[in-house]
Amino acid sequence: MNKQIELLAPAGNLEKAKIALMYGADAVYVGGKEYSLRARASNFTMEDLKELAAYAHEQNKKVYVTMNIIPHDEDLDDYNNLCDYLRHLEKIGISAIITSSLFIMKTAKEIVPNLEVHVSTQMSITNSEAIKFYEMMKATRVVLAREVSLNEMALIKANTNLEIEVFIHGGMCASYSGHCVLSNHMTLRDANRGGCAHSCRWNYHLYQGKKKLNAKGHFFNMGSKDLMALKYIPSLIDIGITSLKIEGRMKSAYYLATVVRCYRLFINKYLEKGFITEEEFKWYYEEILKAENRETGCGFYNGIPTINEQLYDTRDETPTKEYVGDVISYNEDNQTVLIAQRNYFMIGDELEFFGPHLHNTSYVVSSMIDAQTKEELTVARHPLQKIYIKVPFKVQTFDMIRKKFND
Amino acid sequence: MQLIIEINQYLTIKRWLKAISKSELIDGYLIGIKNLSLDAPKMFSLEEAKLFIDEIHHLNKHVYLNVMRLFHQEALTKAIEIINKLNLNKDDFIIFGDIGLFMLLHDKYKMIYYAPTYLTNTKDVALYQNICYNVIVSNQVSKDELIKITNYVPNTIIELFGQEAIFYSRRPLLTNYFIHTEKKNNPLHLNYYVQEELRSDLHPVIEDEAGFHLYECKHYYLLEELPKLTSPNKGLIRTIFLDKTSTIKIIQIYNDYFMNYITMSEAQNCLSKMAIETYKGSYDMKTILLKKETIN
Repeated sequence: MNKQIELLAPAGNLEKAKIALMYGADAVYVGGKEYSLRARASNFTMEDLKELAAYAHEQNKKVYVTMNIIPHDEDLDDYNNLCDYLRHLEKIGISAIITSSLFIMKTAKEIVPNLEVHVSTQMSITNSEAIKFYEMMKATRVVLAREVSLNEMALIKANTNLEIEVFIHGGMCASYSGHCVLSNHMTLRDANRGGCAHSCRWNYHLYQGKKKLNAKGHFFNMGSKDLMALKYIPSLIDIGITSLKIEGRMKSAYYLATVVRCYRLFINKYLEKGFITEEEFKWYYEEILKAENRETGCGFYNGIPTINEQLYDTRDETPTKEYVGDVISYNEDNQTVLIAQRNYFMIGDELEFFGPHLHNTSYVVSSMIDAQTKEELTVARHPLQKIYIKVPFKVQTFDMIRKKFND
Repeated sequence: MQLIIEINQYLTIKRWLKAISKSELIDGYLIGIKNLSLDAPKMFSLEEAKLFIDEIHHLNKHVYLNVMRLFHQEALTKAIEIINKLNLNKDDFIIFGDIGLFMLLHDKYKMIYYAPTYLTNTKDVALYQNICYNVIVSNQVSKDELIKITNYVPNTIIELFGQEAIFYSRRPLLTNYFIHTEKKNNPLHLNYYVQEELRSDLHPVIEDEAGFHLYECKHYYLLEELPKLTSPNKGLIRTIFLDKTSTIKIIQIYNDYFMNYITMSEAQNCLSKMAIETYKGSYDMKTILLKKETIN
C-alpha cells in the first residue's frame, strides 16, 4: 500500500519528546517558553529545542513548536522578541510552528518564510472554505476542530489543497476550542493563554426556572470522555489525512510510550496489509488501556455525540497495568537488566517488558538485587531505586516495565 | 458613536421599533435567523426575516445580519442559500463568526468579523480589519486593552452592553443529560440554568441546533470608559435575556448619553436603578495563568 501518514505526539519535556520519537512518533509537538498554551507543562528552553531538533533529524523526524496562545497586547508588544524567537526556531531546525494568531502567522511568513505555519485547532476550522483563507495566509497545514466528523473530514479533504491534521486520541474540550472562556470567568484563569482550569469538568446543578433537576448527589456534567479513534485510523489513512495527532503534553512518559507505540504498530500493520482483523484490533485496544486513560469514546467521529461520549458522575482513570520501571541497561553476557523502579513490585509478580523494538514479553520476577547495596531484595519499594533482575531475553535502554494491578 | 441594536422579541413590536428608530444615532438593527445565528434573543424564520428586513429598510436603517455561528461543511452551503434568499441591500452588513463564510461572501456583502475570543490584541484586530469590512473588538479584554486597541485601530465596533456567551459547544448537553437521566424535559425551552456545585451564580444555558451555550449571569456594560473610547465609530447593544422594560431603558440611556441629553452621572444613575444585575465583565478582569500568580 503506497499511503503515508504522520503520527504526531505531544511532549511536555525533552525526555518525553525523545520517548515519543523512540516509541514510533514521526513528529512531536512541544511548547517553547513563550507564546504556548499548556502553561503548566514544563515547556522547552531554546537549548532543549535545539537538542530535540538534532535528535529528531538524526531519525528523519520532525519537531513542531506551539505558539498557539490567543495573544493579548502584552504578549505581542515586543515585536523584536517575536522575530528573534522565530528566527531561532528556524535556525535550530524546527520544522513548523502551530499558531492561533493571524499576526504571528503573517510575521512568520515574512521573517522566516521557510518555517512552516500550521493553523491550530484553537481556530476551530470546520469547513474547507475556512482552510482556503489560511491557504491565502500561506499556511501549510490546518488542524481541524475536534467537532468535525469523519464524513466531514472526507469532504473537507476533497476540497482543499492544504495538509490536514486531526486529533485521534486524548482529552477533548467540551466547547469549541478557542471559543471558551468558562475558566476565565470561573477562576480568572485564561483558557486561551494556557491557564485553563477545566471548569467544564466540574459538577453543576441544573435548574429549570427555580426547580432543580439533578438528583441529590448527582450532577449535570459537561465534561466529555477522552477520544480514542483507533478504529477510524484505516479510514483516515484512506481519506488522505496528513497527520494523526495525539493530545497530551502533560501526560507521562509511560503514557506516551504506551499510546504512541500502539498507534504506530496499528498504522504499520494497516499500511502493510491493508486491513486489521477483529482479533488484532482487540489486541491494540487492550494495549492502549494499559496506560492511564480516562474513559474514552469516539468523540465526533460518528457525528453529534450521544450520551456514550459524555462523562456522567463517573471518573475512571485506572489503567489495566501499572508502570513499574524503566530499563537503564542490559548485560547480554549475564542476562541481567538494570532498571529504575517507578512503582512497587515484588518477587513473584509477573512483569511485562515492552519497548519500541520489543514485543510485549512477560516474565515472573524470581530474584532481584539492589544495585547500590548489592543486597538481595524481595520487594522494590523505593522510587528510582536501581535494581538488577535476571531476564532471559534481550531488552534495551528505554524499554519499560509494567505489571497487572493487584486486586 | 452610532448604535447597533440587537432585535429581541420586544423590539419586533412595530410601534416601539418606529419610536426608537427616530433617533439618528441608531445606525441599524442586528437580527437573528434560524440556522444562521448565534446567541440571538429572537430567531426569525426566513419569511419572517424578509418582512422584518423590509421594515428596517422602510425606517431608513441598516440591517446587521447575525451569522456568528461556526459552520460545518454542509451547513455552510445551506447558510449561503439562506442568506442569498434574503432581501439585504448593498448597505446592509453581515456579522460573521466563521472565516469560511467570509471567503464565500466578501465580494457581495459588507462583512464584519465577530470573534470575541480571537480579536484580543491590536495587531490581530488591525489585520482582520484590513481584510474584512470591519471588526467587533473582543469583549474579553480589559478596559485598558480595549482603549489601546481602539486607539490604534480606529473605526472599529465595540460591544457596549450584553450578557457574555462564555461557552459554545456543539454537543447537545441538555438533550443528552435528559436522555441519561430519563427525564422528559424539552431541551429547547429557554429557562434553564446551571450553577456550579460550590457557588451561587445561576448561569443561563440555551440549547439549539448549533449546540449548547452557556452565559454569564450578569450583564456587562461600558459607560464610564466611553469618554476614553473616542475612535470606535459604532457601539453594539446586545439584548439577550433582557426584559421589556430593560430593553427600552438601556437603549434610551445610551442614546441620551451620546446625544448629550444626559450627563455621565445621570446615565450611571439610570443604569444603577434598573432591575437587572450589571457588572463590568471582562473589561474589569485581569486573568492569571497559574494559581500561584496573584492579581496586581
